Amino acid sequence: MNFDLDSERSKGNANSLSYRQLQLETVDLEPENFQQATLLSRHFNNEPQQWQAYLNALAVFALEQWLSDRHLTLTYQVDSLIKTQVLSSEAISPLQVGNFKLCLLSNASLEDQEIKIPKNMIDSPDFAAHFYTIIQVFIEEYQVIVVGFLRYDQLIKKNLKNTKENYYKLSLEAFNAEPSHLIFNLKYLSPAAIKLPENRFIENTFEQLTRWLDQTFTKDWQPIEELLGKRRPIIQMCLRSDEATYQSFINAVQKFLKQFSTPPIQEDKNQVNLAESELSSTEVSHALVQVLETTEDEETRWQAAELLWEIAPSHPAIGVRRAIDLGMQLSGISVALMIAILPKPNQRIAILLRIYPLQEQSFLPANLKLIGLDEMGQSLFEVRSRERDDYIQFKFTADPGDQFSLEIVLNNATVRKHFMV
Amino acid sequence: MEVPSYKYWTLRRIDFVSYDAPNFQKGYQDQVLPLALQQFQAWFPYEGEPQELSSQQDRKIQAILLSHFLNQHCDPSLSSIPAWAIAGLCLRCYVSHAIVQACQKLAQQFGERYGFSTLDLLPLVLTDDGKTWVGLDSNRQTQIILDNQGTVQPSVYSYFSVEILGSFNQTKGDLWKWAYLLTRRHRELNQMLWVEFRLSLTTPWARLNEIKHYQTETLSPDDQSLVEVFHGVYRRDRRLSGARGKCPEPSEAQLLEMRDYLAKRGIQCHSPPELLDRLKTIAQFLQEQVVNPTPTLQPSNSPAIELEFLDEYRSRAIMEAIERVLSQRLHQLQKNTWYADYAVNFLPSLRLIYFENKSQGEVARELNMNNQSQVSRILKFKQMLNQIREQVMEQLIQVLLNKAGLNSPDGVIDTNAFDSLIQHLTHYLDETVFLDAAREIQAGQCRKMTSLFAEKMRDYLNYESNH
Repeated sequence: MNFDLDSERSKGNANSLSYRQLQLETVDLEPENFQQATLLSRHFNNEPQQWQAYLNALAVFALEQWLSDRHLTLTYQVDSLIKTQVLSSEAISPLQVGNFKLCLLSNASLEDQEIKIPKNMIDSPDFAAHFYTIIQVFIEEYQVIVVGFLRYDQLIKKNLKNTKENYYKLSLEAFNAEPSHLIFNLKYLSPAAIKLPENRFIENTFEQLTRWLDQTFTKDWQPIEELLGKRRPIIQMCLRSDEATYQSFINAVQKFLKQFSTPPIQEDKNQVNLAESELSSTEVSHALVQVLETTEDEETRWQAAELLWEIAPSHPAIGVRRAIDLGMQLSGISVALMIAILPKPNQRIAILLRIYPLQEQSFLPANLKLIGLDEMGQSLFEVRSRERDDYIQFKFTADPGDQFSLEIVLNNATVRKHFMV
Repeated sequence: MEVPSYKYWTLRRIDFVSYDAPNFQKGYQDQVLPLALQQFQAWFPYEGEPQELSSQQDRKIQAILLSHFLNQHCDPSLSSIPAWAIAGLCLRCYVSHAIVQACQKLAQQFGERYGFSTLDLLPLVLTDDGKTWVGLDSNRQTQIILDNQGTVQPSVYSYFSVEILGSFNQTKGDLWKWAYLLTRRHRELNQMLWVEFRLSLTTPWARLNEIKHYQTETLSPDDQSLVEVFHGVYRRDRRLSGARGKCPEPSEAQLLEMRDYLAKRGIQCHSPPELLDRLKTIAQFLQEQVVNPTPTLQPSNSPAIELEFLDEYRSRAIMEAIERVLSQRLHQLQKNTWYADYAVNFLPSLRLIYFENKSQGEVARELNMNNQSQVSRILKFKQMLNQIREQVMEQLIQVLLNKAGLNSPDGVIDTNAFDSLIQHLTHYLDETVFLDAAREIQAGQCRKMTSLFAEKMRDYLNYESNH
């Protein structure tokens, strides 16, 4: 049996209607959906936003139910949808199903037979989605209709009309009116097969480092432990030894602290091994904090901080550190950029940059460059890895509000990241 | 508007048997009620001949009939039928004509687009057969009936025509329009239009709630303020009260609050009724919410795929999907707070539909359920069919993926190849199975369950009753 899709379907009597013209895809709204939507809408300040958020929340809940009936899980951050005011706009993104990003277009995006989409929902890497799904809420009927969807790669090939108010418009006909196909796309395709505008645009977004002190991080910046696992660079740094044992670590702490005549290391204990002296880790960290607070020498402060990271990783005095996996952006070579910030008594911020190898590799590839640029793009510093470097690093001090960029270069691949202190 | 006087003594009754012309079923017939005619001529000797009545005459007649109808003590002689009962019958005749007109108008407006006709609507609203004397008690809400022994008792059944009379306010408008309006707002009718045909007869208030930016731009500045103020009050109350269902008319309190906000903006004058009228006028120009999907399959440049070999997998996939979806639905019903009691009717309903070609309305009667929309809600026929179709498709996608070798070694399927594959598969399944299945469950059409899908449903239902 051969089908020639070009020649089928003619207008006329009911018998020529397509399946979806006879049978729309509906999802029922439950009483609790309405209650939850009311609660969410209260996070907004004025009536138009509240109403929009209310309808949008209903649409999100229905989509969630529809996917869940098919054993697919919709995930989203309610807090950030509210904070970014996305929940009260025409399009709700990012929603996720597995590793796919979804953007939900609700009632407000429908204008007669046209769909309007805020431009950033397509252009910005924070909001661009693999699938754009139209959900129409029929509040009087307690139902929504899954009207159709469009995949990102298909969407950008369509005739997107610009409007003055920062919207793109496109015809409803451009969308695939067969919602089942969305389910099959989600189940059988891979997100990697649909390229989103990521790298090109991520370059223009600043990571603000002092916000880290309020525990506000963008999602790519992960806790060190999660990214670097059991790798213990500290010990290698202090001892330059291959034997990373607890004993040698304690020795390193003792050796370090001995430079200072701080209370826990009393004269009469000088000859005793620290590990045997039963100095509690609280006492040790107390001593290290004191070093941090009293010493002005930058190098010493970082050493104290690094030791504290090991002993008391959540101590408030030691600043914040996070790391990002650059592998995807650096021709597949797995390396991580770690940044640690340490506030100084004079309101300035000490910054430590370090590049680590990831996964099974012990050493960085040779000739990997870490380049610092000022806000005008002028080079500030350059560090280059040699054979068998287990990391490279650079330390400096900056004022809040300063901007700088980092380039990590390996062969022909470059990753650029922008920061504000 | 001129009204022929015969409307007061001929009742439009539901009738699916007689035909006007070959193949043309009106769905109703006019029946002259001699008792109503006689009494009408006695009351209105001049208007009693079949003739066109001016709207003034019409109003006068209605006022007199209503006063007879509502004043049940005016004729104490119980030897004959009391005047209130006959006046009521005249009014019920009149209302039956308005109901039919409302249905015809709906079918005219939306029928072609949504695939329904007057015949689908009449059974829900044209429910008065004129065989019972019905009245209203003094609060005008409870319906009463007068039996053959001359005793009056509360009516178990609520006649829609008498509901119209009970809620009619003479000072506010005319009975014809009122009957017309209530027919369009009829709850079951609205539900059926939505569930069966996806037509949402939105209220003016829902339309104002949903007004789009581009629509407000075309309004005068004063009207824009009016809509904004309406939103501020009406949307807020709707949202915060968690109200569901049709949007009611704004209350007096809401209108007063809107008026205050308007005054603050320097727009004076609106009394609540004026405000209501202006809002309704704005709403009139807003379109109904329309869902109008375009045909699914976009023309594809890819070469056609041979799918004939799928025939052998198809039957089994359909059977398995039917079994999964039906048992899932039954299970849902059994644990649903509202519908658990009706779960026992689930499979019998399907048997009546697929073995005996019954409509959902007939199923409701046979299984003693309240009405057709209750059957729709239990069966959720359309949602079930969608689910079955999707599951059949998915099963065959797996067959195709294996066969076509699209499962590449790195696990990444080419998007274009996949699109083409599912488009062709959808087309194949719709043409061979699901279009017929969807057409035959469209309500109101002459049912003949002859599709391949219906055959599989019967197979499953047989199998199910034997186990």
